[in-house]
Amino acid sequence: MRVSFDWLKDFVPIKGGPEKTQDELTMTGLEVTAIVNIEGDSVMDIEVTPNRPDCLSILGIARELAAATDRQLKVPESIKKNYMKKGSARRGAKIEVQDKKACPRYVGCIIKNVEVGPSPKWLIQRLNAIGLRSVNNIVDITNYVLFESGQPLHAFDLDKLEGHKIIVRKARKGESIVTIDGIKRELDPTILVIADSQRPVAIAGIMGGKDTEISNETKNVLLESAYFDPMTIKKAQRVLGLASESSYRFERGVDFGMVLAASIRAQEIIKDEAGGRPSGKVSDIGGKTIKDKEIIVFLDEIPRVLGIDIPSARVMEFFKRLGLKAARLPKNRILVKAPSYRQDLESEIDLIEELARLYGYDKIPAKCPRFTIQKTFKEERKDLVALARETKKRLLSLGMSEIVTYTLTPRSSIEAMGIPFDNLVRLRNPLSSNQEFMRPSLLSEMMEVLSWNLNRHNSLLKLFELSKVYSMSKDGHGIEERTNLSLGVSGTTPGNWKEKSRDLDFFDLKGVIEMLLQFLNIKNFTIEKIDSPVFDDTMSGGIKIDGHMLGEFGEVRQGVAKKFDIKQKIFLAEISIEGILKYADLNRRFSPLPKYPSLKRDISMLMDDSVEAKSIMDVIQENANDMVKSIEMFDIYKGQQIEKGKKSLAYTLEYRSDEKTLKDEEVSNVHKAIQEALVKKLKAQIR
Amino acid sequence: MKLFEKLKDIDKAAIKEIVETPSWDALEQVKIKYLGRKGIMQDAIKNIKSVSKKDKPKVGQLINELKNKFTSLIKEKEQSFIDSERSMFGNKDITLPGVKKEIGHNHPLIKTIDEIIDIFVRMGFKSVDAPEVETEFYNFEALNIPKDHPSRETFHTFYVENGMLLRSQTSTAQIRIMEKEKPPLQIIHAGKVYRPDAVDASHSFMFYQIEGFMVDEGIVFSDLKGVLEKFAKEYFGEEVKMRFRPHYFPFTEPSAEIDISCFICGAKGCRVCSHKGWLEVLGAGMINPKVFDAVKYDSRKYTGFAFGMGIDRICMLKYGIDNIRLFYENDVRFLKQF
Repeated sequence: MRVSFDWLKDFVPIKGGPEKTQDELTMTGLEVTAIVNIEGDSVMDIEVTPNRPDCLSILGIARELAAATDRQLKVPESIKKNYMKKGSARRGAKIEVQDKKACPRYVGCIIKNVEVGPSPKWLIQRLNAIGLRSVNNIVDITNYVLFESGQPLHAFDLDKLEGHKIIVRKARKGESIVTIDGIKRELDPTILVIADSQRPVAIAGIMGGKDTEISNETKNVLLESAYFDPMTIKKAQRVLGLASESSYRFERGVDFGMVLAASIRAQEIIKDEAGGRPSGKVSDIGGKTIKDKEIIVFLDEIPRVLGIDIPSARVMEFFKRLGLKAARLPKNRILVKAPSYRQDLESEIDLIEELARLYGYDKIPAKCPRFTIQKTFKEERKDLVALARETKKRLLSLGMSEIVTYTLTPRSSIEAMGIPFDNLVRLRNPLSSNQEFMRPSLLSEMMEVLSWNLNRHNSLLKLFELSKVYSMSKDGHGIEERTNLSLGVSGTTPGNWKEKSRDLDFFDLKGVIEMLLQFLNIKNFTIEKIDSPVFDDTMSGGIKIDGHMLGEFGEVRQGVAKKFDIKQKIFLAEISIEGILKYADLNRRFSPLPKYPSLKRDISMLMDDSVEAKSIMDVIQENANDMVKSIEMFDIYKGQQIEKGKKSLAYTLEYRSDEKTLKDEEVSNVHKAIQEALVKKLKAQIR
Repeated sequence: MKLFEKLKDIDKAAIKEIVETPSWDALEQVKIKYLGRKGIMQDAIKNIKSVSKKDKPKVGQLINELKNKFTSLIKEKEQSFIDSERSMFGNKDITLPGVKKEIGHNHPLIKTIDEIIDIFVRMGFKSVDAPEVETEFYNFEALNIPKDHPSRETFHTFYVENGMLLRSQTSTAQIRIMEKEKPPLQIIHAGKVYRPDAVDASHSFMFYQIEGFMVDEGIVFSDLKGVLEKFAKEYFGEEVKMRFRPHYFPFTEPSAEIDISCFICGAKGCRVCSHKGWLEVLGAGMINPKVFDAVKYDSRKYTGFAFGMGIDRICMLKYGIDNIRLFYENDVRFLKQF
């Protein structure tokens, strides 16, 4: 809300400049977010929290400032005299309220023989300062009182009201109205209107009608001041897509006790500035004196919540400063009565907050709480947290960088990945079709990120993301959130003066996966052929553990990559973290260092190109005994130097015993047996 | 066919010699031996006349093949000498650049989360997870956000087809934990939240929050101040000042917004703090008794505090990042900076 510094001064004494006031208001809960200078006046932008509609006025802000700084509030006499009063329902104006629930109070007043014209300078200045443009003196005065008191008012040209009558009712089907902004608006029966005997003349609480607005010809005015039900106004705003300064206040709840007082305040100014002659009679329909809300505060509660003791005399003083009537009760209790403008005060804790505010949050000392050792919760899933942490740590050490992407994804991505739509989580109100679904897989966002980077010639891409994927639960009621890991590899290594740059490929990705699984102590996995819409038929594999397929990886099909505007080869993986959780073992057991030296022996051989590395490994392992501690492939060659259809392979085997230093012939025997098996089973030519 | 057989032997011997040649000089000798003017291959060409007419083309072709093969093998060998020399020659010049390896980088948002969570864990908080897709009960009702509250409307919250919603704040974790566990509780939780805001430099429809809360007998507002002041000093620096401003949140009362003195300008006023000298970084308060009612805690027995912060904003402030979109684009030139 915009508040003029000059205007505020009418209501509360100001000490110091605008910056001091800014600080005082901010520290009492009315944050002043900016101060601008308009024609010599300082205008503050104040953020009013939704629980305090009473602060949507100069008076309300002044009340808070006066309470916070213990200064005297100055309220205009006419408001003071008529606040919380009930007007007579005499024949001031013909008012008929048909919907009492939507309009619990309506004050109508007739002012005769007004002279409509330009507003006086002081009025124009004040309205300009808070960003309002002057219309004419009558309209300006209603706006002035709105901003002063927080009570919206509306002035009708009485002579244009059919039957000189006001009926407050719901709109009828097919009715419409042209509002003062010149736009024709269709109404429906959920919308509350102000009507004359023929037609709607205003949308209640939101905007008046063009036909009955104040013009230069207006002689007689019907001044409306009312309390409209917040929900009714809120709904109408939404249906019509229309809001105003008035509706902004009505939807938050105006002060029931101010309805009459604001009307009389406006009448007074109109008399002074527009020569009007108020009839002195009002019709106050639904006016009643409402009782103050009573709340009991236990003095013990104050230190129990705040941690400080406020002496009871101080407590009484704070309540008084806030305009709350307080009386001591036996047993250290205080009875507090809240006036109608403090609708937000309902229970004891609300009053404790008020005390804390006036005491000053900054004066409440800081202390260290008593901490307790927390027990493990049933659903804590410590193992999952530990696994995720270890996974991340290892991937970073393998040169993989972490990415964070949106979890909402478009239909096109899901289609591109060939994922069926059966169990997807779909939003009812996405911002755009780009965020229609919660993602069932991390791969499409990984491709988006690779694409973004490749398009910017960022050539080394080794990325991972650890994030949730979503699906409808089997029963269709709940939603399952599971944690997945995605890996993405593409581009070339940077190279340096010692090592040449080279393209990253399938085996770079596979190496990351193998090392990760090794770090997690997962040994019994196999790589199986997969049939995937995303991955190339040959260069891809599934990670199978204990009969479960827990991940897939490989080179992305060109057709799929193209949908993400990628021409290069890219290599992706997606692994279920919950899936591998059961098999991962982060515990380490120390194995004693070898006591005896090892012997290394190579095997070089020619082999049909069609023989897979895995079959060779299998044969070696089947024929090795426990002396063989490791088997590493260190070379593979196909080309000019060897026969077509063949490849040359080289392995190093490490032999060691835990009991003794191995002798040459012990090793040779096993090594020879392995070589013979390779010859026999795989037709190897040992070189 | 004598020559033909001989050539096969030459082939084997030459390959072995070339491959095993240890030095430039030796390689030169091998080259002369096989390909020189008086070399073995030249000799073989001379001897071709001894071959029968029928076999001549076959032998001729083989000679050519072998010559080519030896030439290319020798070239390869030369290249391997060059390569190994290249890796050797610079080793006495210490001003040559060191050999660097590409390392992995933490995402700045996750790095920020990890650092903040660590601070609270060191104090004695327990870090927990919580769902992102929630029911209205956890996101609104239990948090004292009434049915007609504006934030429940569809333009403030994403709804899923089955009536659930994407949580708009991490305070849902308070309810999730409290309905299952009993005090004393010291909980910290980080996660994604969602609001239908169009993406611009400072808004995103998905972002991260951290929520913390503590519930026990005797927890007071002073404790909240103590915990958050410790956090601010640990994370933003010992010299940072803090102020608590009264504010409104449905789920806490009394509620506060918390500013820290601007660490960019030293509270003198700069563009980042809008010349106010203060940066708003946290929302907090004492847990509203109505929230305790919703999880069936006795609010006459227990009190508690809760606080929440937007990680994207804190991360942007901390590193001077001026556009939230950078977090979600994942340009590696951006990621490499962290």
